[in-house]
Amino acid sequence: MNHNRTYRFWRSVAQYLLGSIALGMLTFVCFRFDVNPTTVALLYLIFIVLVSLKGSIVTAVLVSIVAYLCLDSFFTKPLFHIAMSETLDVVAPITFLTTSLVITRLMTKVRKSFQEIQALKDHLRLVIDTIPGLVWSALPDGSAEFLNQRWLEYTGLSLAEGLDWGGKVAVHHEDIGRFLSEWKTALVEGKPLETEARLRRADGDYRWLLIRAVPLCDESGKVVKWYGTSTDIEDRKRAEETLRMSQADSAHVARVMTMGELAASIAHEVNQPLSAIVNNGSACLRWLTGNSPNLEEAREAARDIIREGNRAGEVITRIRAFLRKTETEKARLYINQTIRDVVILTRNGAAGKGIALRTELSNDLPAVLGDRVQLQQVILNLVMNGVEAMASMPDSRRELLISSRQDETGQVLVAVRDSGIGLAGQDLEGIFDAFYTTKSQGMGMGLAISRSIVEDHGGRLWAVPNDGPGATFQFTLLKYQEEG
Amino acid sequence: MPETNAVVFIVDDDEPVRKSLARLIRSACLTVETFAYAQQFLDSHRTSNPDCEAPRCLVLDIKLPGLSGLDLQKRMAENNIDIPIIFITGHGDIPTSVRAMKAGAVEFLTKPFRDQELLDAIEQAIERDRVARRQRADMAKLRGRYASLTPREREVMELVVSGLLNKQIAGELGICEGTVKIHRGQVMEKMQAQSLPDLVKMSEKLGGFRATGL
Repeated sequence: MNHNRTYRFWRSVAQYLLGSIALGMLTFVCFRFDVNPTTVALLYLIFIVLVSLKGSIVTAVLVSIVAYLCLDSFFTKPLFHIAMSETLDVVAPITFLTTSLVITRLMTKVRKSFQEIQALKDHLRLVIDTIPGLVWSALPDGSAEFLNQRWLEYTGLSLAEGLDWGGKVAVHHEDIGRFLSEWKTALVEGKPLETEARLRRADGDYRWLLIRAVPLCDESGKVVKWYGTSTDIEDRKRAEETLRMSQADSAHVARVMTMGELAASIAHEVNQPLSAIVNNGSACLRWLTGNSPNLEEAREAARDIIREGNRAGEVITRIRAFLRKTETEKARLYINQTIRDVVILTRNGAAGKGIALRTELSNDLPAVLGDRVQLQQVILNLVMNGVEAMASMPDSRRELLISSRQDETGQVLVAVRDSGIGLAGQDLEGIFDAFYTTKSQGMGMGLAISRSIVEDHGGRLWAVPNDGPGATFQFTLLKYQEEG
Repeated sequence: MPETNAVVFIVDDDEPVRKSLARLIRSACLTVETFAYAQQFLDSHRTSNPDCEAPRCLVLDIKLPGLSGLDLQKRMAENNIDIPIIFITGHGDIPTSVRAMKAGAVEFLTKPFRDQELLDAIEQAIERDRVARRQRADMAKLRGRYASLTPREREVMELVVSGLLNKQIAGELGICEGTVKIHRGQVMEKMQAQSLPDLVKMSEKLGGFRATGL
């Protein structure tokens, strides 16, 4: 600090010295060449303007006074005397002082403006570099113009490398075709862009980004600049992928394709023994009531009826086993995390329907022993049912609340509460039956399967109508017991 | 009451169903022969006498391993095996049933069906077969009679049924009228036609046969 001050002090001294020398030389030259006083005055004025540009009033006034004194002494009669005898003697000092004051004032203002602008620029830059997003801008032709600090840190590229979008900026090869065509379309049409693509991060991983860009247009509607943000949505994508895969894996969902297919295969499997039973029954009657009754045939027919009846029963049993999940992978599980996974997946879809998803998850829930995929299914099923129950509601409070806590017996209790059409007039137990549905589409297996999963986990699933609108579906799960 | 010597063939790969059908049809006093696969039925039919006395029909399941019911129907048509078919199936969809009926099936039943439905269809099929047999037999007789005509007699017959008088026929063939009358008499006798319209009808029935020549 002191170093700075000393430097500044000596710099000022040097400036004064230089200025004085310059002024002196100017005066000397003019004197020697006998320059017209008015001309000299103008020359001094120029000198004063130049000095005033530095912005210091004191210096400027000083120089003005010195210049006037020089003018008066050396260039106006009486020479070598300072006296106000001619017009110039009055006009000159006024001019000098006015000029220096005006210019220094102006310069001060200009400097202040510049300082403000710079401060604003710095502030803005700080904001853009700080906000948690990758921010960038591009020219109307699509080439990169600006990349914020986060963008550079994320990709690990230098500014020069980053601006060369065709070069080191690595979009995943599976996404690049689609991304480029969407970007080109946006550039041509001047419409905002929203797309997803994988970008390589500094550590080499490719991560999903949600890329949004909006155009800035001038008065004639021509695009002047593109501003964009890229948000890391890798976690969300992973969650979606996991759930999608688990749904594909989930035996009872994969195999139970459509109600039509299921019905067709049941029909065929069951129709065979039924057909044999009916034929045998009819034959039996005919053999007994015909002109020549044949007891042996009738007996055989009756035996076959019994056998075929059993076969039909086996078919039904096989189908039920087929529908029930046979293998489960139970492990220690914290149900709040499972709930959060489902919320990530469904929040956007629910928001799209104007429904808010809220959670009230107890912090100190014990772990449970459960199959994460299956329990995800159950929660997802209840959430989707709740969303659908509220879809037809007018714009009342559309909120779905998922809560978790420990109940009186120490079991983990998860509740999904909606404010929808409710369960009035429906059998609170019958809704869990297979093939029960109030929807025009769907098999009606959701609640039946959910209940069977919960019961397989040693818990219970039941529904309670709310005091207000809607219903609450709750289920319990057993605590995880450490191996003794 | 269907004839006791009518034969019903059953092709169904599900054994209990096959047995129950056989038992039911037997209880209606019909003879039954069962096959598990379409190919078995085709093979046995090749070796058997195609023109035996008894009318027959076929009760055929759509869904069969290997050659399906509809394929068998096509195969039979290709090989001129003219046995009326009753289709039975565990799941009837409209396109399949339309195909089957358009290709000439007597009936299309979905399991489980009432016994009377099947027996009525069998009766209908057997009747159809009986009629077809009679027609075939009649046709064979007719052809036989025609074959016994001499070439000249055939010429005369053709001109007679086209409506020419004996005189005109004589002029046409370059023989005298008396000869024409003799030939005409022979034709009527050999063909066993009672009148000219009779002969005309016979000639029409023989239409395609004649065109191919003897």
